[in-house]
Amino acid sequence: MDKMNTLEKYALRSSRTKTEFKRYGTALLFLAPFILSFILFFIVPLIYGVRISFMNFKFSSPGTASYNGAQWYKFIFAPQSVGDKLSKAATNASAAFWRSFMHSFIFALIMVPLAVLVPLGLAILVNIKPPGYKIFRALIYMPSIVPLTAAGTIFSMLFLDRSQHGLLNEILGTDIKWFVDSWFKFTIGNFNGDVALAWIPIFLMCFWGGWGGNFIILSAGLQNIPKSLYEASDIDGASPMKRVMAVTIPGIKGQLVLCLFTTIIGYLGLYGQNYVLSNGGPVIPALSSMPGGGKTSTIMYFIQDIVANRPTFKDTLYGLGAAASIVYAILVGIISGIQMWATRDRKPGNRNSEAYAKWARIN
Amino acid sequence: MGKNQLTLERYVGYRKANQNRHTKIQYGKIITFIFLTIFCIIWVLPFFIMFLGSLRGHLDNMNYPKEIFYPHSGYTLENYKILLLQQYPEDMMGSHNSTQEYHMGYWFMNSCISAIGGTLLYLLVASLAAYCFTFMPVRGSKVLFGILVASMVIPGTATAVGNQMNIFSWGLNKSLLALILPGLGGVYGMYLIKTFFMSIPKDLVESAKMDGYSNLEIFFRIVLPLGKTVLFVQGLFGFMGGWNDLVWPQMLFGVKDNKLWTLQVGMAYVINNSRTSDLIGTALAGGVICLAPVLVAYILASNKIIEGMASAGIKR
Amino acid sequence: MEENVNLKEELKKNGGIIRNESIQSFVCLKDVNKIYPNGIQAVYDFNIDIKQHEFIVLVGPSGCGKSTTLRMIAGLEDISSGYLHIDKVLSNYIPPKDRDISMVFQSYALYPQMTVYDNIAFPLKARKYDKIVKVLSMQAKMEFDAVKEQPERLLEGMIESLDKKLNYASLAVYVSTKLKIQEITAKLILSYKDLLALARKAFGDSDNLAQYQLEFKTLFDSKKEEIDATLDSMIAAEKQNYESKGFTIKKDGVVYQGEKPLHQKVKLTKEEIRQKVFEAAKILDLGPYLDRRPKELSGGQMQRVALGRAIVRNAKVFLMDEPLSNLDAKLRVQMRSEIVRLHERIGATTIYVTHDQTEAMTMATRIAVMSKGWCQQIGEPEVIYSRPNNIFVATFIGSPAMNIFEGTYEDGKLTLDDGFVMDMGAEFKTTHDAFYNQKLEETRGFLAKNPVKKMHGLFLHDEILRLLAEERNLLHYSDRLRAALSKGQGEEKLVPLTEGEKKVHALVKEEGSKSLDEIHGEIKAMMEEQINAKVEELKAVIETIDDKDRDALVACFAPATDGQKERSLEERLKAAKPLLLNIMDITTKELSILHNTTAFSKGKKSEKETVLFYTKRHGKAKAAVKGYKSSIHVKDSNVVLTNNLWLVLTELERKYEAALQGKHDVRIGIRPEHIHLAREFNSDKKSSGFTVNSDVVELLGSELLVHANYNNVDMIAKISTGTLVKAHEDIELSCELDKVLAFDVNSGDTIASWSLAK
Repeated sequence: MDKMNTLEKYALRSSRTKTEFKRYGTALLFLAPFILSFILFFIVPLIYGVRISFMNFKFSSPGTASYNGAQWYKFIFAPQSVGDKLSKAATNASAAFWRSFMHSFIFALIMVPLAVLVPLGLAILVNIKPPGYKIFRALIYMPSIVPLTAAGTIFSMLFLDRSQHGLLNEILGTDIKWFVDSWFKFTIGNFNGDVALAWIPIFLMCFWGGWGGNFIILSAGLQNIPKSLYEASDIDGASPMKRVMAVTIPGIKGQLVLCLFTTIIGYLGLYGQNYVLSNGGPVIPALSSMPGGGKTSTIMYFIQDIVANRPTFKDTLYGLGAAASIVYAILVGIISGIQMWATRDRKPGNRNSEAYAKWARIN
Repeated sequence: MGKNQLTLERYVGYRKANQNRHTKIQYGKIITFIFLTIFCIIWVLPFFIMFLGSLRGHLDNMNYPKEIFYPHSGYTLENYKILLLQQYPEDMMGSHNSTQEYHMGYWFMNSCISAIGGTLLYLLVASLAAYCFTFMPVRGSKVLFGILVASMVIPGTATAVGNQMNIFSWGLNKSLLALILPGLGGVYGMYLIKTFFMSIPKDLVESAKMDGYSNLEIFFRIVLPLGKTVLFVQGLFGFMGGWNDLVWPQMLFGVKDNKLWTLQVGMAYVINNSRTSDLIGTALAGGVICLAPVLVAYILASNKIIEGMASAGIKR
Repeated sequence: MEENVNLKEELKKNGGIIRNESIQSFVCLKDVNKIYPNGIQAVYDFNIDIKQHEFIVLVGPSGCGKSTTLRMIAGLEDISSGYLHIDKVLSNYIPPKDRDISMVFQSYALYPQMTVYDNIAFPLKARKYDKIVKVLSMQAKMEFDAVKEQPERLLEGMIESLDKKLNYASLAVYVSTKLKIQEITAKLILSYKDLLALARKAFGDSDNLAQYQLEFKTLFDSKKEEIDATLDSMIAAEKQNYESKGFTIKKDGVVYQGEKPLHQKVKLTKEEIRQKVFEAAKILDLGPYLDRRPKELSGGQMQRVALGRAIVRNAKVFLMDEPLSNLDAKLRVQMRSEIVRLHERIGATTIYVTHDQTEAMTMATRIAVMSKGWCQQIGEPEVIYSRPNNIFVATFIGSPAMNIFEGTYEDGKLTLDDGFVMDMGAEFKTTHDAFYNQKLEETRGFLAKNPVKKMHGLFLHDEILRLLAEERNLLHYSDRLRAALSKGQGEEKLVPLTEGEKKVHALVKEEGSKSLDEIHGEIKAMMEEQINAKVEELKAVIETIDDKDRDALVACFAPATDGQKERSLEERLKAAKPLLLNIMDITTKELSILHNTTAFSKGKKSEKETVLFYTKRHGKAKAAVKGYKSSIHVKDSNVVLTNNLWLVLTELERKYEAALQGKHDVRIGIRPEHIHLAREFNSDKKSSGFTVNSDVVELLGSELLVHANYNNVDMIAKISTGTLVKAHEDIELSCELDKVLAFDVNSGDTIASWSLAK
């Protein structure tokens, strides 16, 4: 009997380890490809990227790289504190970076409300379900599937100079140099601003093909609101305004927040449109030797100039590119964080039930 | 009183019948219809400009630039010939314009291979992982998943530089694999697939296990067929992302590797060239080639695509 | 037109609201119809008078129009025709929010982002309420007079308010609610800092409360005069303010505008809202959940919140649309009694929609049973149960459902198929005859109506057209057959199918020598006879029509007068058709005949739309006739309209006449609870016994449900018994004869005295 007992115990123990082992084995088998890719193409490059941002890095001969402290970050944030030899380069690089950054930021600021409100309005209209609304839905979304460069061909054709037979110039009979001229200049304090006319075609291109996804998501959200809620608010005597505030907006809150943040991040990372249409230009003479030294440059354009488009920078400023992308990533990370914070589930507290308890005691 | 009352009641009916809810809704629908029609005409106009512009010869382009919808000397395929076959019209031969190196065929193939191949490979890898996280929980897998989800806060830009350096140091920069592989580490699609998998009843998987199927069989026979909606949606996102990507291919392939370019990189180059010449037609033709496969797919399955996107938007 | 102008002015005078004082009931629906824009009619001629405090349940299977009716009362659907009065006010076009109704939805329709408190408060926040304007300070003074004699209470209230750590403003609010005085009074008292300071001291030193009370009393007494004076001056100021605007003020502080008290539309204050929400929460036991969101609640709690949102407003009418259908069985029973209790407590007029007859029977003061858009019966639950109007109501109400057997009636006796006889007695025979006489009279009355006659005319019109087409077809057929015979090929393709074709076939084959013209002549003669007979019949029908179309119709078939060209038959028919089609004045009562006949007679499906859209349908019939013309072989010669009201009614007339003559089919309904074991049942109304073999026996506490096949019907008997019946056992049963119901097979109506009185 005793012997039997020990045998059973042993069998139990050994089979348990065996199944555990097997379970982990299969799990690992399923996970391995993904986790391996994640490590190889996310974790490793991330660490590598951070390392490079602290290095004097030559792309052509990576072996010769050496740490230089936070010099590239100083380039961006405190160009004065960089040593004499580099101070002029640092000042220019910093100017180019922040200029690009401001371009991205202001463009997003203008674009985001439009790219949420316009599709919201259209989604409400389509949700009225006029005849053929499915066709309208398909047509409104259609520009969003157009590859960036294909859209670029249309808009560059529209906005070329008269000498190149730009359609708009031909039709209007004007000779506006859309990609060269300034739109307007302004002065705030001792800062002289100069806004390129090229932003207009860039804006139009973004507007044409930039919010189809939002439109689809918002109109799906609208459709998901139960009809009985509208009817209930009707019976409860809510005014049309109150109905929108109490039923429609809360009903699509999740979709609105999603659209808002994807759009913000999307336009902060603006690159393709200005690359294809204006090539980041027109060039600012003082910053012409710097990455992103154009009047329509953006933060992504700045980075891309270093790491891809202008090969000379790969050997001289590669670390700066890495540092800029880390700074940009932190910025986007903060925005994503804000999104998660904003959409978290709030606890309503217990104000009313406490008040009720007191009230119930009195009455 | 009685009779008068009745007429009064009838009168109200008569008066209000003209402004009752149903007619109001009908008017609203008609106005909306008209507005949306006008909007949509403006919205699809660029498509026509691109398509018709690509069928216009370079001489018409210079001499009659305003005649966009019906070119002065008729429609011609000249632009497509330049782009695809490097056949320049005779009057352009020898000018500086005829020296461009366009490898439309290569670019198109590269784009196809990287976008389709990358998407399919990613779907497999990600759905395997999603299956494991959903149906085979082992100790630690929750923590691992949490880490993965948290990493979504970090945008791809942060890893781009490191990835570029790695790819070059591994010598992959002369291969299309460089376009495909880095995408496999993306967490977002895996997260989407997992969210959907969670709505598949666990009982299904468990009963299959009781019936003696292995995890791999269950994955292919039960979970994948049930999850085809989300696979379609993620496939769509993946394909569109790959097809439209400009940044990453630019980081990989320089001017000398122009046979490795994707359509996007190539097209950016074509547009740049057309700017300094009378070759805007070629750019438009390139745009049409670039757009055609996506557009055909969209026209064939627009309802499915839109509904898929909508469900992904609602799910999150 | 002028009349309209007058009415316009009268309407304006009434402020757009029409009160009809002649309406006696609280909610009144008169001839209410609902036709959706797509042409589907959901509700036919709904009539109901609902008294105040009643609990009405609309019950019926899904798709019977009960929810539509409710939504029309709510104002969520437009009423296509008919009148709706709520509290004597014509409400057809009043928007839902102004009807003073509240509604509980099937899906609860709680606002997901709001807490329970906010959900319940929402209807209160949304609207303005009518209030009689009073001079506030006069009110305050009166209350202060009551309070000033008990300074201890005042102190107590202040201490308690201080306990809440409230700021000054909300302290005043709290004191005012606590002591039931106006806020301005509370503010006035609290404005005396030394009083407040003393209260603070007392609050901090609760041991010496008695001492503080004394101190407070003296201090307060010294201030009393001053407060009184302040209040007086406030009253004077406020009075002057009102009087300067031309209002008068009565002694109790109410402001009058001429003869009437002055009303003002105001939003409820936060405090008032809170009061009401708390009261609702108390009734429904929702206190602890006030801060939860709907998704954190269980189904029953969500249901209660929805109820709370409905009751908080004290609306005139409560509407409930299947409120319990999303709950599980146990909770449903619990909520059922809760709703009944709630109704008893607030007594609000309630209209409740459900598909569950148990709910209807247990909750309602009156039930309205609906089927396919028609209201079948309205009455108290016990009436609906024991005296159903027709077979639908009888089978729908009661659980398990009534057993329905096919059988025959003859001379006061009901006989089942197996020969089991129930002698219902002489009284039943009288009722039966009276019933069928009434039916016959009714049917004949309908047959005499113009629309029905016109339908008959249309039927004949189609018939003639068909005959004409057949004639052409036969002529063509004979041509082709002859041609085929002479060629010696193709004959096999021309197999005769219809009677006429067979005749023609024989004619052509048998005497090959006959010329084609002769054959044509014979065919024409043959058809002429039939056609003429129909034309005569049509003329006779037209003669009997006596409305405005009559003369025109008669003229269509009159012989040509001098100078007129003789018209062909086709032309005449064409001229007559639009006149015949003018049948839209058909009444819904006539439709209901058709509905019930088709719905409940054997083997026929309801096609109530047939008649309503007769015009539309007729277009199709025409197309069918056209097709007839072009096709050589006609497969189904009975293609034209069979579902014609005239046909139905003549058929009915025939059947009712037959029913009065002797033996005829009926349906016999016996409720399971009226079947007993023969050996254990003694009554003078006991039927003779019949033996069945039990299939399944279910034990329900003290009762047995015995399932058995009897006369090809799966019969259920509910037996309360001491002896257990086993499955597959032969048992002898008998039923209570006075509870047995017989139904007319044609209309489905109950053959009974109450059905006559209807």
